[in-house]
Amino acid sequence: MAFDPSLFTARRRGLEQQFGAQTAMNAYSKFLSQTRGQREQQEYSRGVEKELPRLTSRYGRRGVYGQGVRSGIYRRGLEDFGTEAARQRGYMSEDLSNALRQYDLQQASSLSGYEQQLTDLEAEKARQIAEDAAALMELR
Amino acid sequence: MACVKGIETDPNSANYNTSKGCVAPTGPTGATGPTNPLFPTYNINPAAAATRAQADKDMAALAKEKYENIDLPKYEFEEAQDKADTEAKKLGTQQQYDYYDKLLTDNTAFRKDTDAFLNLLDKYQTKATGAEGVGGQYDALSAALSGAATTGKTLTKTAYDDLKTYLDQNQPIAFADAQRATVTPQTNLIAQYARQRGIATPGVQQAVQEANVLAEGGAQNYNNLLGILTTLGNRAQTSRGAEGEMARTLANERITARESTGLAQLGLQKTQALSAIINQYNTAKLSAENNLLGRRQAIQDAIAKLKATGLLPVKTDGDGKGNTGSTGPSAPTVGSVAEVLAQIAASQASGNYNAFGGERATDQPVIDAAAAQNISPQFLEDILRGGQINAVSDRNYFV
Repeated sequence: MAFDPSLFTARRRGLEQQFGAQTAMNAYSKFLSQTRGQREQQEYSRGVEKELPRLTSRYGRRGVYGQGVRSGIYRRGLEDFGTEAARQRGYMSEDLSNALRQYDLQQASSLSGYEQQLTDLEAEKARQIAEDAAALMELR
Repeated sequence: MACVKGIETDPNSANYNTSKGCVAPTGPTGATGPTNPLFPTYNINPAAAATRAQADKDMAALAKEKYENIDLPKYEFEEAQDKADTEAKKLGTQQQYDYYDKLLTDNTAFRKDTDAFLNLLDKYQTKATGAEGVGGQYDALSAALSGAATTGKTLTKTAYDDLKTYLDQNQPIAFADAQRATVTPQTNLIAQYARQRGIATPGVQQAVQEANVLAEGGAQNYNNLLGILTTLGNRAQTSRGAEGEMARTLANERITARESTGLAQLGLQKTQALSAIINQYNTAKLSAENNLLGRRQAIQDAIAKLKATGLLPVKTDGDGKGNTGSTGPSAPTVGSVAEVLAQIAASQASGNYNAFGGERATDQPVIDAAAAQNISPQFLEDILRGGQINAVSDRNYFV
């Protein structure tokens, strides 16, 4: 195949278009995932905050929490609730971070592939020029 | 007188055509014994005999006069003419001899036409092998080939220089510049609520810290992964650069090898063409020299024939042996193959021998025609190429 710059230019445009499409789709997917994850975290935090008075009320009705009463049962119940809330929120945050990192990693991989393909293209172009130079010499 | 049955038949007889008749002779008068039939006796008429005698005298006088006035002058004229002819033939023979002898002794004149032909041959050979011939074509083709190789190498250099520039200016950034993971620490959702109620919740705070540590670890792992991928990308880039340089070297070597092969082919073709020209040149030169040898031998044969005519004057020299009257140098001696080779080798060793292309030394023999025709072409070609002659081994060249 004789060297034709237009062929390489066309292939480069194809790579750019493919990379652009992947980037856009990945960015949008990341946005959706981030939105969904953050909403779940916010909902969970609001749920925790709403649950705290109800939890105290339940302990109050049982007489282990109230005016002048600070029982160990209530403190233990509150601490278990807080611990569980912190653990769950940690999991949710970690899950969201991992999901977002997956998109970032995918984007980086896509960019890396794009770079590699461009570099391959340039190397192929140089090799093609050298091949054509040698072939031209064969014709002399 | 002739008498037949009594009748005279001789017209010169007095009785011829008369009525007297005649008597046939019966034998010699007075002979005794039987008559000899072989020698019959005649009756001679005196008058007729006298007439006959006179006639004889007249005839003798006439013959003498003819001899003195015709035959003798004619003989003397012819004798003089023969002598003149002989002298003329001697003179012509001598002139022929002198001509031939001069041809043999004046080598420059003898070789004049041949040398002119050989000079022309040299000129054509130089032209065929020089700038206008094979050499010129070789120079042009090799220059074109080298030019093509230079162009090819330039293109190759440009291509791989461009690749190197691209690689230098486009380092991989996909993972190097990728956003590193950071951790937003969690807050304790119930801390404020518990604190307002005077309740300490250290377990909650510990759970928050554990979650933060866990998140920190995940972020660290992710960043480590990016670091590894960045390193791999950089190594790949370095590898590509090395591959480009190897490809550049390979491409240049390929062009160089093609150039070398092409030049070698051109050189081989040039050698073959020059060899063909030299072969033709040597063949023509050897043929000319061979013709010259043949001509020399023909002249010697002609001289031998002239000597055999006996028309050349003979001089006696000191040793009493006969010699020709030639005053020029003696004709070249004709030697055997072995003698000729030995003397040529001696001349060659002394540096006075110029193969067949130069002057013949005065003491250098010529090869007799028969031997010359049997000389191997390879032997003559070796001589023309400057090969030394071995008086013994080179006899094998004579077929």
